[in-house]
Amino acid sequence: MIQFRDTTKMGLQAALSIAIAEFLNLYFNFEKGYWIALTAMALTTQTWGESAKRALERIGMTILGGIVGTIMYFALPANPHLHVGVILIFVFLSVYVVKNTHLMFIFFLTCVVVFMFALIGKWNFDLLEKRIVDTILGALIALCVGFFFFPLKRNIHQLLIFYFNKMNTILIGVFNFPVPMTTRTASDYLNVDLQKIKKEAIGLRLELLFHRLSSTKFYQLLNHLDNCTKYMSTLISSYRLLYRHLDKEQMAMVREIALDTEKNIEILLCHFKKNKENKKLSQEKVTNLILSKIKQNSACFGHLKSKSLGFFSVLHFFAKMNEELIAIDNLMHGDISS
Amino acid sequence: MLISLRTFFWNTDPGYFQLKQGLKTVLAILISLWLLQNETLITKFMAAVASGFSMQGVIARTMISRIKHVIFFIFMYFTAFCLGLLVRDSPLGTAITLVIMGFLVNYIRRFGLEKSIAPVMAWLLCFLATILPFNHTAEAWAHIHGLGVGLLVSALVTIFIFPENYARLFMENTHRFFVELGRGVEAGRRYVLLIHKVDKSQFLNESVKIKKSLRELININQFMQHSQAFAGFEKRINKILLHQYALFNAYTMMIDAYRCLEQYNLSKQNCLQLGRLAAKFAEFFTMLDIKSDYVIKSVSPTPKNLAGLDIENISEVSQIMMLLNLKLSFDIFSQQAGSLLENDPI
Repeated sequence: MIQFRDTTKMGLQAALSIAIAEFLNLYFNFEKGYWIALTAMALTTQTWGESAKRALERIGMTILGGIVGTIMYFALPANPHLHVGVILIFVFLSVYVVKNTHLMFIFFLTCVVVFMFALIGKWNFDLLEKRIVDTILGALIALCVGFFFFPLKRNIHQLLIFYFNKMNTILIGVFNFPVPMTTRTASDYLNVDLQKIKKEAIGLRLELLFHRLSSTKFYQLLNHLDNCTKYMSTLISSYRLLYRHLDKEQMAMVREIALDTEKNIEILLCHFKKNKENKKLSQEKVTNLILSKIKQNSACFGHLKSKSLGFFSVLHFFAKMNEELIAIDNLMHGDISS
Repeated sequence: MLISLRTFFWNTDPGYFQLKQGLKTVLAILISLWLLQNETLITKFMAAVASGFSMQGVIARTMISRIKHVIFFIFMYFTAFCLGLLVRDSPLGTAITLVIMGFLVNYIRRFGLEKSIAPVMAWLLCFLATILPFNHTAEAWAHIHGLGVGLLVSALVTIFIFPENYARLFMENTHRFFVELGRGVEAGRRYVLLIHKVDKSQFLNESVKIKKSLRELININQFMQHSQAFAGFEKRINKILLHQYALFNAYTMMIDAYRCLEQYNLSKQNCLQLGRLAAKFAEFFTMLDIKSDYVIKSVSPTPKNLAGLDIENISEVSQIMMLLNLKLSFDIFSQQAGSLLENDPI
């Protein structure tokens, strides 16, 4: 089977969507039917989940923006200079919000369209109604094409497998060497990945509409992933500061706990990859170690001057990280095994 | 006043870049309309649309590559619009052209345009050329100079008006980062001193906002890191970024520790001691300054780490861990601050 790049797939999807839209427009001879092609094109340039999210936003905001724009148009005096001024304000607002809020962007853009069409022709509620219907049609075409024709979907399992593999590699790089890696904090790149996943969360959620993972569980998963990454970042940056102050015994213990955490991630990865191993993640060792060490060293907690106290912080972050890993496994395990 | 106004706009959600882009777009449209003030409505309309659309999509970071982008995009937009005018009289021709263009504008994204909206803008201009209310195509060609003026004006505005100055932006961002961090540590000080009198959720909300702002500043600095604007200073830029990440993580750790502070009955002496230390760090970060050669200077001395906390009577593990983490976050602040001020040679 021929493997196409994503850009080729998007190109083919866009071409097919426009072709269907233009066919409908020509066949049924819609008045102002070109909105169908415009919407279909605008919504076929991303993954299916993202398209679905944007389709909902586009329809909702076309209705709202259209109504607000039309009311404004009729409420304002019929002065072309004033209309140009209003268009410029809405153009500014559209550009201002385009990168952060697609929802508001569509709202302002629809207002621009209302005033632009009023300026060069005519605008009324009848046209608004036609525009809304055409937008819905265009969105439906884009969604159907995106779903059935070279679908660009994100595989949530693959995404998580990639993420945890990266996490494991970073742990190995930091804790399995006498001196931790000092290149640009690898965990910061992990943070960038996490931000991307979170940014696409709604789109991903829509792709999982027919998946067993419920909406609540999906957001819980994101939350645990967020916490896990946070603890790992803190763990790494504090270890870089503290490792010089750890004695041999403490260093050996930290490495052992790091190995246990790596094992936990590997078991989690096995579960994601649907391997039939029935191993369970564990964090008892690290928790018990913290408790016993604190009891043994209770005298040194009388003051907080000793640098070696950082050892307990490192253990604490490992314990917290493992807690989050177990929570993720518990969430996903049921879905994968079913 | 100007600085506080700029800080205000920085803090608005879409941020300074988008504000500038919005203003530049409106400016380009206004200049085009002014240049064509004696022309017909449809010529002005074409110029305004061309200006507005072609202002978007340039993503190059250096002046030379920005000029290359602008020239390529102008050519692309002009061709797309003319193509639309050529086929607009034939419904079938229009449909076929839009379909082929729809494929091409997505296909060419692989050539470094993944994040640019310029290809979609080209398709939109072609689409607009097919729907504009001309009586016949000859009439449209009579107004084509409107398109030329619009594209040219937007090219000049993109290149010459408010061009991005990455070196200055990096310095301003870095300075803002330290000020924000100082504000965050100061908020923590207020919270710890008035632990049972202030609203915890208010403190947490403020901390979340500060964290978000710090994260955005680091992201923008990271984005600019490989720009040629820093030629000769790469090592220093890299070092500053590394410290910013470490300080950000330490701040996150501090907030997490404060989050569970109210569960424990911390002695007045301990609260005062924590407050004193936080005050020193807040002042230190706020006073940090970055010079034009990316050297970091401070007028106040680097605060030393935590001492004098009395936790002899504390037996609960989680409380000990909370205090240890708090201590660690201040230790990291101190170590990173000291290292930042070392300013190694380039």
